[in-house]
Amino acid sequence: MAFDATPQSDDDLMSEFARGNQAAARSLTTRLAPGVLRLARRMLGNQAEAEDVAQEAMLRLWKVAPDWQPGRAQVSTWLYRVTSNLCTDRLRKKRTTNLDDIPEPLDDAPSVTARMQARDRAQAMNAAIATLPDRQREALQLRHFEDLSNIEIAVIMDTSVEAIESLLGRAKRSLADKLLNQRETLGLD
Amino acid sequence: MPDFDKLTPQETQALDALFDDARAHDQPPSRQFLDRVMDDALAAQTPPAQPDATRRLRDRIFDLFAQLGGLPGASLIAACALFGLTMGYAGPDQILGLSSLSDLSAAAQTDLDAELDMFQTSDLSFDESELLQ
Repeated sequence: MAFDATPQSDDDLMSEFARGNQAAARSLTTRLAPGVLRLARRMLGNQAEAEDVAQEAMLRLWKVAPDWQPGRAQVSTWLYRVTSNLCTDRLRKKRTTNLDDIPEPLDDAPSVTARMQARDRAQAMNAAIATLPDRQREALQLRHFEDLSNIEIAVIMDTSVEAIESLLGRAKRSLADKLLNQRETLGLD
Repeated sequence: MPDFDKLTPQETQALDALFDDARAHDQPPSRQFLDRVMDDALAAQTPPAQPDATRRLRDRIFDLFAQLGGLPGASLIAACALFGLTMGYAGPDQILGLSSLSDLSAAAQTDLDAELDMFQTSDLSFDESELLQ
């Protein structure tokens, strides 16, 4: 999740931020906001909504900074959890208000098999991930895109490590079933 | 016992390659988005406006006034202060109509004697020798 070369820890940057240090604000933004946005985008499947949620999550971080207790929790873990909850709320609200807004699962076979380049493979992968259930998608994003441990993911998703392992196992099995029967056309062999 | 089939090493390798592709082509956050986040950060850092010295003094005076009991309390204190000042400046004889503090003491003693003379005998002329006859 680190995008800058600042050697300071997130805790240190939070303290600096609370003291009014603008450089700390910039470091925290460049370090944390991209990952928050990626998670929100993966969970919501919509860029504009993901940016709204990511901005809201970061705003909550700024507000909690003066009361932040170093060492009590990891800043990134806390932030991912806030983002996850905000996304879950949005998804629940959307499903309650209008079931017709839910996109149909993508038909993986024809469009995916037609592409051979790396960018197309990435799109095929993203499309396949989009068809996964919410919790599997979230766990997969945190594990394979944000590079978090299963323990951290369990904290963020408020469940056990075993449950995370199960979610990841199901998710990868599902992706393999969707994608790997077209190894040749995807250029994986 | 998990109810899904575990991936083979070949499947894992193939999926890992697809994850790599997906990560490599992840869309970075836009400049506008990062600017909005930074704007929020800087707004959150702005300290609330500090009241100027005059306003702080006025607030303290109002607080003190309230602690003294408002207008009635402050009036009583002001009256007592004025009386004390006048007494100190002019002297008690001018204020109470006495020539000196000894007069004040004598007057007080006379009043006290009169109060203690319950049978009003102070004006009777009495010769103790008459009792012996």
